[in-house]
Amino acid sequence: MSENVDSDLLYEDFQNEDQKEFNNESYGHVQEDDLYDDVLTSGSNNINSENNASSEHNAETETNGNYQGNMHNIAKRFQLYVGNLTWWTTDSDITDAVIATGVNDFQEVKFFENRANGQSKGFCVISLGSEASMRIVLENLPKKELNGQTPIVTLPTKQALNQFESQQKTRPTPPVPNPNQQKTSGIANSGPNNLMNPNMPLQMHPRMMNPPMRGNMQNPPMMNPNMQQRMPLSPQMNHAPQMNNMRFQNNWNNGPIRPPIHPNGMQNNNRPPPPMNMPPQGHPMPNNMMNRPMNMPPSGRPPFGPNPNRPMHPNFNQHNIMPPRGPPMPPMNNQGPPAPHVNPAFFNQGPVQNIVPPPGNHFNQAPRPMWGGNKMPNVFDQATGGPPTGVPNQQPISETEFEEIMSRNRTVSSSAIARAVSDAAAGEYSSAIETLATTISLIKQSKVANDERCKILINSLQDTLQGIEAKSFNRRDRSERSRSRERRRRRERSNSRSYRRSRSREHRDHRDRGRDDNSRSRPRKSAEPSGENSENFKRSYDDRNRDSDRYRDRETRNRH
Amino acid sequence: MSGAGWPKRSTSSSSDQSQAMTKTPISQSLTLNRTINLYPLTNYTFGTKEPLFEKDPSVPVRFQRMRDEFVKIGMRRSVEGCLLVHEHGLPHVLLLQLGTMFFKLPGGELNAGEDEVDGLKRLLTETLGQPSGSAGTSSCNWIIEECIGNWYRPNFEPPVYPYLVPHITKPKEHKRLFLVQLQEKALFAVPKNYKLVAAPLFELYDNSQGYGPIISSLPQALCRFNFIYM
Repeated sequence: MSENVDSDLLYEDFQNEDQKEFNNESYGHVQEDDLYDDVLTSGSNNINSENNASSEHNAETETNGNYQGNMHNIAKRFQLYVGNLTWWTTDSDITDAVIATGVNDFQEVKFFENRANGQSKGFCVISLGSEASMRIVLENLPKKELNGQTPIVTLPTKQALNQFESQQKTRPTPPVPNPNQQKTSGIANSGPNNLMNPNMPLQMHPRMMNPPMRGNMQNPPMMNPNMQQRMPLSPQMNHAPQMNNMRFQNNWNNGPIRPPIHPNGMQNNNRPPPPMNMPPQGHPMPNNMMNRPMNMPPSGRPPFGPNPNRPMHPNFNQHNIMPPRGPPMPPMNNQGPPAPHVNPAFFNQGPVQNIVPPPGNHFNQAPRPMWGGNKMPNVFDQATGGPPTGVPNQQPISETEFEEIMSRNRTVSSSAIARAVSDAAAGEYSSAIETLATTISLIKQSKVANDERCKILINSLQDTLQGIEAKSFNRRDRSERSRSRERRRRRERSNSRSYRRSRSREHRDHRDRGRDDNSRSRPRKSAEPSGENSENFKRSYDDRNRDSDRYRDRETRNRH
Repeated sequence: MSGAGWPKRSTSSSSDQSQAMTKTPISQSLTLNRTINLYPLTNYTFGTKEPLFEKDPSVPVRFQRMRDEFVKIGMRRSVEGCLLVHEHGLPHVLLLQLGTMFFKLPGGELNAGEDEVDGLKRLLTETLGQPSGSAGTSSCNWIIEECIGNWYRPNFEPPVYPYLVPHITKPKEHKRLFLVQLQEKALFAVPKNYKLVAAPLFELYDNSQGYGPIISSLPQALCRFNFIYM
């Protein structure tokens, strides 16, 4: 019996450890997450530690320098980080390369990996036997090429670690979007990428008819090296803050898939820049911007960090970056796709307000109802005819400038739509309509107003306007609002898909507002609880539809 | 003779196959429509026997032994068996529960050079078979039906993945999961330090927090089978 007692005690211990290990094997590595943090701070990394046993075993010891202590093997004091590797660069590749530099005391290599899926993060730590070897490697290894990339060799400092970690995240960020044009190419490029992320393709392909993947086009070479990380799609997270960010981002990735479809949504690519700079600046250095945003607004932009984990869809990442986490943006969840992307940046900084008011004045004069149907043709004419107020449109515009203006317009437009949507949700239709009207005129006044892309932008704004108009005419209950939101969402979506089709629908909308509500909501798969959707999305596509079905039924019931 | 590519004698046989025994010489449906018979949990009796302790008393020791053996023998090969029963029309997986929170499938490590199927049978008998010397024969007739998973451990660390991560040339452990077809009735002897539980598939599904990635993905690994609830 005492034997049993002893063994039971032993087993308790074992069990506990196994629990931890067990937990570690599952998704919720609690200890690992803490460690992950520590990885960044203390430079000791459980992930890296040979002695994972100790790291799992004791949360405390994990935080301590696992590197130096607890190593069963030879003293690993002569270590170097080797980064800028592809995720398929193997340990034998590294071993061969290091030995080829001439050192003879190479001990081992250990890769940093994504705990969730085992993928290499593209950097590793090598252990050597002497300082001389370290120097040799430091100098000679970067001269070699591994799988098409030049390794970066550094001393094992926390800084370097952070650098490598962050590099992982930044690379996938694509440059400026011209989402409308890049749609198909985006899909093509992201195809192979999508494979890496099983959930993504499901969500992306059906949804992202127009993925703002211009970045993909331009960065296919970049993509590969960047795809070193994959965000765990189902971060059942107890992960460290970093990972938490990813989770949020993931949720966003999954949730507001719709947003990207909408041209305004595409503007999200510009989002990162805007928050950092005033919107007018728009886009030019999306990549750089991505870097900065990641570090800068730590709380507001954690999603940027994890972005790199989604190399497949850099643009998508950007989009998702846009919708900052739930907490900072509660309204976003409730609103349509454009909202998440726009709100945070703009509302936080309130830059839009600077832009919108001035032009708005003259629109105020237009009686609201006019915006409904009649105005539209006018607006359209204006759009096609060129900017009403003598903004010279005849001069050839350089590509960069065009991009800049385009992105600015997009930014403004997204924010306006978001603002309008939130206003409408709050019942303030007039201000929403005003915002939209102002924005439309603003954009039309821009140099690029004649361009197709700009017209699409204007069109979507007008759709939104229509929706809000309709809502304001049918002041009913919340379901009405949501219906309109759905309508708008759908319209925005179809907008991106087909410019013309949506326009005709607009006309129809206005006339058959009442009748349309039901039929309108039907095609709209997404439902009001987009927040809920985003959380559940990772679980199953079907769940989402189920939610929306339920919601639709409710709506129907409300009507009758 | 059996092989998915072989043309069958007649196409109608494939529809018959769905009702037929699994091990038919007519190949094509062998993989297309794999039938497994499940018996009710009540068909089985569970006795107890002396405790069966793990080889390693703690996790660090476990990985240290893994390292040592890796140098000597090479990659560790493990096998685990998925024993299925049914209740209320839903397959249940028999799991060994250690303590209150830790679950594992019966199985273990193969000896150097040991065949997988033989090794698994040996391990199942060690774990759940009658104590040596007794007459329990039925439980010793394990039928190892199918391989339902290959999991790889890239480092001497807990994480395992159902694929070999590309940057690791030599996995440290390779774990194979097998589906074990139970006899209609059997008597199992469960070591005293374990509890044998029958977990319904929905309990495991999407529950890697509770059961780890391997066990929680069993419903997906098993969903391709055509279960007959006897």
